Amino acid sequence: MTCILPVVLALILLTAGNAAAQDEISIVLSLDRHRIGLDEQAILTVKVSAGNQQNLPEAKLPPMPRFDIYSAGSSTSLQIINGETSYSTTTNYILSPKKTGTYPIRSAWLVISGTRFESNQLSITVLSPEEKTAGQETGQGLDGEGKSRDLFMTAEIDKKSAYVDEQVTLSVKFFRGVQLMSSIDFTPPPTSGFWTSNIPPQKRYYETINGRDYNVYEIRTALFPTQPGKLTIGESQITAKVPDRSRRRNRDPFSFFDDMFQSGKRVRVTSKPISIDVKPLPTQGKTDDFSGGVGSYSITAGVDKTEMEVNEAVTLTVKISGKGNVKSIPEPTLPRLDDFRVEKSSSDFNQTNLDDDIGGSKTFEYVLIPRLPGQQTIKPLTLNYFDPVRKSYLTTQTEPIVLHVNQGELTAGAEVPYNPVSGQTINLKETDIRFIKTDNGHLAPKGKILLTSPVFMTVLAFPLVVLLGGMVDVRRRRRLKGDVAYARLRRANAMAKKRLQKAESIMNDADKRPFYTEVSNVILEYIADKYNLSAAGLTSDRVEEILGQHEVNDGTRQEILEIIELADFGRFAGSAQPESDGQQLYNRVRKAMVDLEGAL
Amino acid sequence: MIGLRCLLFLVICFALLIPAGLGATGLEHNFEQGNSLYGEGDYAAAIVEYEKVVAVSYESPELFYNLGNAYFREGQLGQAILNYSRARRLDARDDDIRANLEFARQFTIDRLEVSEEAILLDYVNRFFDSFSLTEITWLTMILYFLTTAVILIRYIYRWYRVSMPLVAILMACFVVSAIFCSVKLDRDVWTRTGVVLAQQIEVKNGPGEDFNGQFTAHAGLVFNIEREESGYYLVNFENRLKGWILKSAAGEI
Repeated sequence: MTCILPVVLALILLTAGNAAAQDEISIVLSLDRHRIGLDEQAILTVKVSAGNQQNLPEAKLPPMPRFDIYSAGSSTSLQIINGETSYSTTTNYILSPKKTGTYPIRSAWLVISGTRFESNQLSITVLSPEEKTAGQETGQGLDGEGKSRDLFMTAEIDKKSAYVDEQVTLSVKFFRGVQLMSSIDFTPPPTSGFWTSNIPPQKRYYETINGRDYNVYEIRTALFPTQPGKLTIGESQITAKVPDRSRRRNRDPFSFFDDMFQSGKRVRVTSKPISIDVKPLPTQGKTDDFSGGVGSYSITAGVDKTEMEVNEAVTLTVKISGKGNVKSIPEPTLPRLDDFRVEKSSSDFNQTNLDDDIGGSKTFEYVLIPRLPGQQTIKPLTLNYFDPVRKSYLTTQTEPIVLHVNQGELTAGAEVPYNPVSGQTINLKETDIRFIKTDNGHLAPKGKILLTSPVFMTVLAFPLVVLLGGMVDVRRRRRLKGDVAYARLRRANAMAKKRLQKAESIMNDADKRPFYTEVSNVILEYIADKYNLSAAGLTSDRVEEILGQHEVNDGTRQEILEIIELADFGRFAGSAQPESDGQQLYNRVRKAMVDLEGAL
Repeated sequence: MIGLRCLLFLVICFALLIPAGLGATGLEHNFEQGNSLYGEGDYAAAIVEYEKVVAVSYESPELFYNLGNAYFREGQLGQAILNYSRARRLDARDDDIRANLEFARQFTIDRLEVSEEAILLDYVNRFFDSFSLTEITWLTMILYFLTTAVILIRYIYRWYRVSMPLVAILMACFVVSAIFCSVKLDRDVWTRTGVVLAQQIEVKNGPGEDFNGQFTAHAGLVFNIEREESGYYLVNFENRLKGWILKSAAGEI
């Protein structure tokens, strides 16, 4: 028991201590004011005090969908009173209302060690600007509660309606009645539908409103609407840090340190959105040559010299200047310059502001090269624009320019004479056509197009024929190589002819036997070749049988057999045969071979 | 044996293809007469002589070139440009023809604004214009013969000393050349182009006198002819404008 008791005691003490620490945690919500205008802000302060606990988590804010919430910094403080330490964290939020009405602000909360702590609840009323002014006589620079405001912004435009591309000057003023603790952070208004240009310089001056001196900071912007209709210039916004007056108000004699180390509060002020009615340019009086320029312009033209020679360049400078959105003015159309070669060399834009009016000049340079001698006139250049002050379309034009172009002593075409000694660069150009050709070339009938002529088409088919022929040829050769019977068949005629020739050449020899042998061979070998047989095995009977099989007519068959017989006889009889028989036999063989060739 | 026969056949075919200058002797006289009249400064008479040759459907680059010169001297810009263009078609790389055509073009009044795309196309055109159709045709044919020859040798007679890369290169050259040839044929033969001959002519929105004029075209303006109908050409200009031009006020290149 004795050993358990201290443990239990210690546990109780610990738990109690923890509970005590948790009991000390408090969250307090406070607002700097409870009624604000729609265009104002309230500061919500969340103070978390927590005995001796350090590193407290931040309290969670309740949902406030009717407000934009910006964090405005936090501070931690440590107090030691009678030896007891207590920590507290203060966090500031700026509430910027989105809608009028009265809204509750529910508890902020935080969870420590599974225990949820909640704050008090508040409510805030947001008044519309009308309600604010109706309820209280506030003026410029006074807040909803009639107190003069430290910071505020205004935005104004110089006209409520304008033409498309007419300048509208927006002036945004920032009034400052207190010293700032930081530099200001300016967000310009969103200006969709406008082309904008800043009007420097930004002005700074003093103004007294409701007896309070304000430091005024003015930023001016030129806006050029790009489309007709109702356009809106959004709100501009400034955020800056100002001294926290709410703290100073209930200062105690010893809190002067606060002044030295005060962190201030971050505030955001905005200007009201402005709407503007943009009118389209009137159609009445609008002509085709309207340049698109709106404002007040003038156009001038000049040349660098009025006397020159053919092919000598002259620079024409056209300048459009005036008030308005000069940047949008297109290049002027040059009058017709048939007797010149025209090359555009450069264009230049220059913005100059006359007080609050945006303006400037656009300069275009052209190089003109006269082609023909004589007096040449550059006709006036015109510029048609819309003047929003006079509400009408106006045309301005240049003076005509007269140029005197001399023929010059140079050989035609050369801008600079060629110096063969110095070899200087020249710019020779043809100034006349070249002379005719004396060679008649080849006078030929007209309209013959090689590609579509029938002969050409035929020629085109030739390689294909050759290719096909080649394929057939290769195939034949391969067959000759591999097929003896085919080879013999193909060769039969040629061989027979050869043997006949041989027979003829030896016909009149003293020894007749080779002649008769050859004659016999002519026929036997021919038949053997044709049917892929051996000539040695061919007897008269066999020959007759073959000839019979192939339906060779009786006359020829008879003749063949007779010749074979005669030849055989001759071979054995040798030189005993008379000369005339040889010739006769040869003739018979030739004829028989022709018949046989036709028959087989 | 086959080779020899092929060669003979080729020679005969080629001989048939070469345009013969037969019957041109009398015309040569006209041409020379024109030249001497031109030399004397009688351009109108020179035109008459040259036109006699053109009238019987004979042509040469020199003839059209000289005729263009004579017309230019007579101040007929449209005719000059027409004839230079014809000369150019026959001889694509003649420097005199190119120079005079370019020179004459400077005097045309109409300047068409052409898109960047058209400028790019101009480079392509220049490339195509530097060869005549006949030249490309010959080139294509020679490549065609060579290609079939190497195919025959390598793949049919299996003579492998003719290497594969050679066959491939020849074949590629042939294909490129054939494409070039067909493009050129389309541009030069199937696409009809014309030139405005009259000093100025109204381009109408229909084929007839009663139709409204869209704009005025001046001598020397070149166009593509789409088709013709009742004495009018439907034409396309370089800047894609379209309209009808009286046939008699224009000439087809």
